[in-house]
Amino acid sequence: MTHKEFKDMILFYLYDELDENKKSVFEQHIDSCNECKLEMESYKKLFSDVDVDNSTNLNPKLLMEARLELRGVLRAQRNKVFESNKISNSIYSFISKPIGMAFSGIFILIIGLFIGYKIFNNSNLDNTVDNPVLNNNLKISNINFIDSDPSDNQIEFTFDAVKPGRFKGNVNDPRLQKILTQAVLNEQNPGTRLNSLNLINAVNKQSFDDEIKKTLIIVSKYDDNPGVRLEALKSLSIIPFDNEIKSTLIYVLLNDTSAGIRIEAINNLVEAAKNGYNLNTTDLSLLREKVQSDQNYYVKFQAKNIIKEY
Amino acid sequence: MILTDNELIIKAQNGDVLALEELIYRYDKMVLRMALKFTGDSDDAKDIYQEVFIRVYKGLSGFQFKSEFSTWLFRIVSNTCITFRRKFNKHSQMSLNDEDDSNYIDTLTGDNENSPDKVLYNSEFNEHIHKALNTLSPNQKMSFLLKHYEGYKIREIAELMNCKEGTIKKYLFDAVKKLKVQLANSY
Repeated sequence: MTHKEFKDMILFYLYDELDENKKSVFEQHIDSCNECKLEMESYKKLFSDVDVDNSTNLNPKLLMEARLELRGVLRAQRNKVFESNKISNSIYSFISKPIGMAFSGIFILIIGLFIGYKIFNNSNLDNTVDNPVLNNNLKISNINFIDSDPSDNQIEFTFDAVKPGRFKGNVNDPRLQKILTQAVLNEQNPGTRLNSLNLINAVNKQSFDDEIKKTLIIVSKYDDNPGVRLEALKSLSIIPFDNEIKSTLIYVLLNDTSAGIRIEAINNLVEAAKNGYNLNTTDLSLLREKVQSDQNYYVKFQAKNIIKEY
Repeated sequence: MILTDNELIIKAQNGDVLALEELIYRYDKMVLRMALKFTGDSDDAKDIYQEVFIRVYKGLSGFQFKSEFSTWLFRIVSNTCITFRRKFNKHSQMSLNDEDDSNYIDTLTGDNENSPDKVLYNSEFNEHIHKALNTLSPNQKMSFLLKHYEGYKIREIAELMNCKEGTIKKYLFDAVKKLKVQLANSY
């Protein structure tokens, strides 16, 4: 092996990318080569320079902003799927391609043959109404073709069929709670999210399930509307206090930009402390930081009170 | 009970929004950190972060478990970062040459020097390193970030970036050489 080849191996030696044989040959060479030793030192110096950055943590505010924005965008994406023009756009874009045109022709032919078959077998065409998939009340969207090759007269695709619904029932009905939970997460309109949260609050606290708790935690932390975040936090106070709720309250206390929401979070923590819930040393040190850094006097005061309790 | 990535993916594929969010929050810090190092700008990093997870959301229904979720995700991160940088270069009417875009540094460190985002960023990331990293081509930079900061093996980076191992070695070698020169000049 030439000297240059050994020199080129330095980087990969430091990154532990050499196999055992090459490694031992390289180590023998470097013991006797000053130039390679110096070169290796210069790499090590570079690594220590660039590693200065690696120790820094991500700014939690930046992460929270990114998460809030992402939630909004994903919610919009989910709602877009249900727009009524989605189906016409996707069909139009498909049939405007040459293969799509050919496929549509064959598809129409198959439908024609199918209708002809039904007519000549004296069957009732109205039976299509029995098929819930073809019911006119459904909005069809998001068609994805799994098998679009009509050569064997068989095709296959998936789609979303959305049916408008109406529900009347007991507020503690788990099915109703499930719908409300989905609304809190997915509805684009903050007013609707807020109304759904208010209804969740009306639910008997004994019947709160884990899914509702998880939803409330996510909304308290990441909903882009402060009113919705505050309401979710209030809802959390109804649920029996536990570590997950405590972590959520501390997260909100440290990261939320709205003083009103931070006050709600610290009040909930105070309440938990009064009821005998113990905070650990990490929680207390975070609260100590909060006493120093929060701009709201009330939050500082309450954080101090909790620290005194312990 | 903590669910595995694959369990969360199956739930998310069946429309479980909470599972999708849990999956995202498992990896999003890493994605944002990579994006921040890659772009050197908080707003650009947030754009990449958002673009990555929109792609994940759209592609998750077709995810077939042939690779680990993290591998798939980092492939998306890598592609999004590289495409983002190319878009930026295009908009700035700069050279599109993948391997010779050293002028790019001037754009990033020019008039925006004192913008609030810049100030925020500077508090997190050493300015010298930022400048030096921006002299690298997108592929060199991505290879270096994945190797040096995320600790991937060259074989894994090749899989993520859809390249041969030899190509990644070349990117890394050139990246480190450029960084040495840049950082030697900056101190």
